[in-house]
Amino acid sequence: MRALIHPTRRLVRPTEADIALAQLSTRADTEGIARRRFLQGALATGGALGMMPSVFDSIAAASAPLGASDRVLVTVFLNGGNDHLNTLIPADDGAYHAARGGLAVAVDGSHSVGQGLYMHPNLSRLKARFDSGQVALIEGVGEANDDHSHFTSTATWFAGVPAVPNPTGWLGRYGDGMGLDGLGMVHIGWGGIPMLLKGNQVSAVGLPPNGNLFGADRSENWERYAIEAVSDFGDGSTGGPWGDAVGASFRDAVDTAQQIQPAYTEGLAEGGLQRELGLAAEVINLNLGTRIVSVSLGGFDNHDGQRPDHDDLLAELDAGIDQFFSTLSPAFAGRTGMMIFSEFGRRVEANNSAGTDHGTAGTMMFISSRAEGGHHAQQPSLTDLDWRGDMHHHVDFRSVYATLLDEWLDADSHEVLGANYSSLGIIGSGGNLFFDVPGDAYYTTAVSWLAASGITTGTGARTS
Amino acid sequence: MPETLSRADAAHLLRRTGFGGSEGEITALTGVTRQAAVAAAMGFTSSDPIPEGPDVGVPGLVNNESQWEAQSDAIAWWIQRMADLSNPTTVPGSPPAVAGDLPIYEKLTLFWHEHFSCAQDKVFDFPEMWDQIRMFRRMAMGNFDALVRATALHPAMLVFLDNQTNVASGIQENFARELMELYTCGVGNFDEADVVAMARAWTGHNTVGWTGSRWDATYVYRSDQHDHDPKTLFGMTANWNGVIVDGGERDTIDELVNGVKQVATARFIARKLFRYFVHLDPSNSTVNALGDVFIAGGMDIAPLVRAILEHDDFWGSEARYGLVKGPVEFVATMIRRAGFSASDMGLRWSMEPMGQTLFDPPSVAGWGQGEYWLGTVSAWARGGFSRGQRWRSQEAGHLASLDDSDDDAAAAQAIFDLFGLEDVSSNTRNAVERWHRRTYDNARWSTVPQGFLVGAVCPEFQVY
Repeated sequence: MRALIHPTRRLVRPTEADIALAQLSTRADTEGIARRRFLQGALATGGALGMMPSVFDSIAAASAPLGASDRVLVTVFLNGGNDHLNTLIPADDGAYHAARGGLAVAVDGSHSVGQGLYMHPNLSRLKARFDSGQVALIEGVGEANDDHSHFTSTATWFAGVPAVPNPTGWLGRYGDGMGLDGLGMVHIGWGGIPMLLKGNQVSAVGLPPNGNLFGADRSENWERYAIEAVSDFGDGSTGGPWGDAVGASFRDAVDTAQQIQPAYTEGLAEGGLQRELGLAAEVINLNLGTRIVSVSLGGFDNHDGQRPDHDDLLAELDAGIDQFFSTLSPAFAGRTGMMIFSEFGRRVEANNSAGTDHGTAGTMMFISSRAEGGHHAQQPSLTDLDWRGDMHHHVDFRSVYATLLDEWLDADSHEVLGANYSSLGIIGSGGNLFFDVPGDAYYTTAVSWLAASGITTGTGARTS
Repeated sequence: MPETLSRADAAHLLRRTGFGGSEGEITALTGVTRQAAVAAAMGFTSSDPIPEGPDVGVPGLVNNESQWEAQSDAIAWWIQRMADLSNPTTVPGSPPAVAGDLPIYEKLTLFWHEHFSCAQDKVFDFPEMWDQIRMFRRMAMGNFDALVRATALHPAMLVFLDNQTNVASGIQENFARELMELYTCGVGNFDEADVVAMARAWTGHNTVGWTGSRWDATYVYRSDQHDHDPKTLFGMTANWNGVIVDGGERDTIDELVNGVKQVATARFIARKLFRYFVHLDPSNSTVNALGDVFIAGGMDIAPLVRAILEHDDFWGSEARYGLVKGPVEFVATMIRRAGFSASDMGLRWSMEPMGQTLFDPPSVAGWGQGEYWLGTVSAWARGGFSRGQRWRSQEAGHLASLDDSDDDAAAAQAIFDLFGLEDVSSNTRNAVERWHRRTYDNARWSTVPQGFLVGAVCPEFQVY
């Protein structure tokens, strides 16, 4: 969003400015008065118990708003294995052009993010966000046992622990520890809930991108009676675990429909990631206790004819990220972050189909007004490769999760991940809510505080 | 004394080998032996030669100029076929008029479509997609080696997993990896060096390509594009070729299906077919025993299917209502029970929110099972879909008695009969009776359409 009060015009009343500037010396983490305690010692980092369906607690019961300092994490999964080298481009490296030939992306100085890296030209709004200090880049992230399989790699990245039977997701176990039932975790998309958001006790609620939820409209009695029958089905037992699980999910759907339907605003984009991330922001804005939201964007398995397909996907990603942050209410902007990840990267050298095969090491991103913007690792060498021709990763993906768990989500990463990982320093202590307010300007913190306090709300949710 | 089928057993077999039995089909199988009932459902006995499935030809709709129209029409055509086919109503020993025109062939065709999961979204040649489905139907019960071989060289697969561009001068691993991981031996039975060797073995197995006037996806072997050097696959150095072309070569599919990977492949397929027909959690000893049956039968599919259907687990309590209907099963069963015309229902549009668009599986691994179809997204979509069919049901004259009589128990039974529900819990029955009482008293005119809706969304109709 843009700041309603343009700082250079000095329209902020002195008293407010004084209060705002006083915030410069206030530590952000002393605000935590309503922070929920993370349950210690109750988490199994291993797998779920078996194949039987999990009948989770009724979701409609719990919709308590977030505490004043509770933070929110949105995850964007780039499904198929993103070509990180064509996302954050090492264009100064001759090895990149030699390996990629016609797949190499042309960039110029305007795309530079430093360290010889350039953002893809279709990520122009993300680049602006980077320039304002809101994007933390972690280069060279990977996993030690990468077998280049979509399925085992996705399972590993979702689980955050070595392969176990029937794994739970790292955010699912976080949900267990936080007691995130109800709408505490939300997945937006068609199909099922990704394992990422499945714990042993809790699971995410799935929201379809389209809306018009069955059960939301009960204005006529004759409709209401049938919908209430659906609740009745789920309240009792069919005599079998799968029937009971289905009954519970239908009950949860109709019982939640009226609460969630307002998130499907007229202003949402028609489709694609832009709609899904706009919806994600609207769900957070409803303040129904949602702390985790996940979405995914498919199509990254670019084995053939990678361009322009991959370029188009990045444009969709750019639009989606921008839509999210411009839709998000100022009340949540200072405590919402977005993590972007993929199950693996692509090979350095292009294949024979004008595409790239499965590879390793990629860049993860954390985007937030509270991110410590900039680079947090080094781009791996494009010439010191393994026997397959793949880059060596040097950051364990779980250290990103650990940092977010410990420093963003008020949790204990050892409990969730079963091991200790060092902090990457991607979380900053300051705040910069406004896209058009530079991160290092003298007035940044003051303006952010004004927004967080509700004194200013920017020029509107969708004007950036 | 061989076990004979109760009425409940007969209904169970008909739900699993087709899309639900009629009164006549259930009666015909009641009291016969398991062996005879399974033989009737499969259309032949264990001593008969394994028949080819029917070749349903190419309906004109498949060659529509618009790819989108062709796919939409084919979805309706295929689901209508699933809904229309019946099991014999005189048992034992009455093959259908057209050999193989039994619903189990459609179940297996759907299984192979999910297994060798190609997507029109990428292939973009609907006649080839349809041709692949016809091939799956013909080969549904045949020999697995022949099925893998034919699928590997089929244009839809050559395009879908890019082997059309896999050549000695630049290998393309996409097909080589999935051939092992998803189609035969499964993950854990090969390593990364095997992926490279397998990809090299498959070089030169391409498509005709651009003819000067059009793209021709017909398979062609280009010896000059094949890597003729020795390769080490599964620890064995030899002149490996994807499929043997010249003497002195070793055949990769033969090795996967009949050679060193045979046990792994047999168990992988046995487990998957068990999970499709019985329940999701077979014991390892059951899987191993079924794998032995598969091997003993020369990797013919029919003996494996027969062994699964005759297995005690198939008839046990964990199997009863132990699977969740996917959208295709949900819609086909509804159409079968209500006599709807699939072509009037806009299934291409209306099934997408439920998460299953035929010919467009969401990933190379196809669709999921069990919990994959649970959750609020699925519930909202099925609720919305069922709501959309209620006037169609009223027009068809179903449940006409519901607004004539205040007999709630009779109304509930009429609804369960319409949906073919054999075992309804007292909770569901009570909820439907309560619904009828309230609706009859306060909005009597709506009992007929709403009765359809209540039946379609009750938990008993979602499981099978």
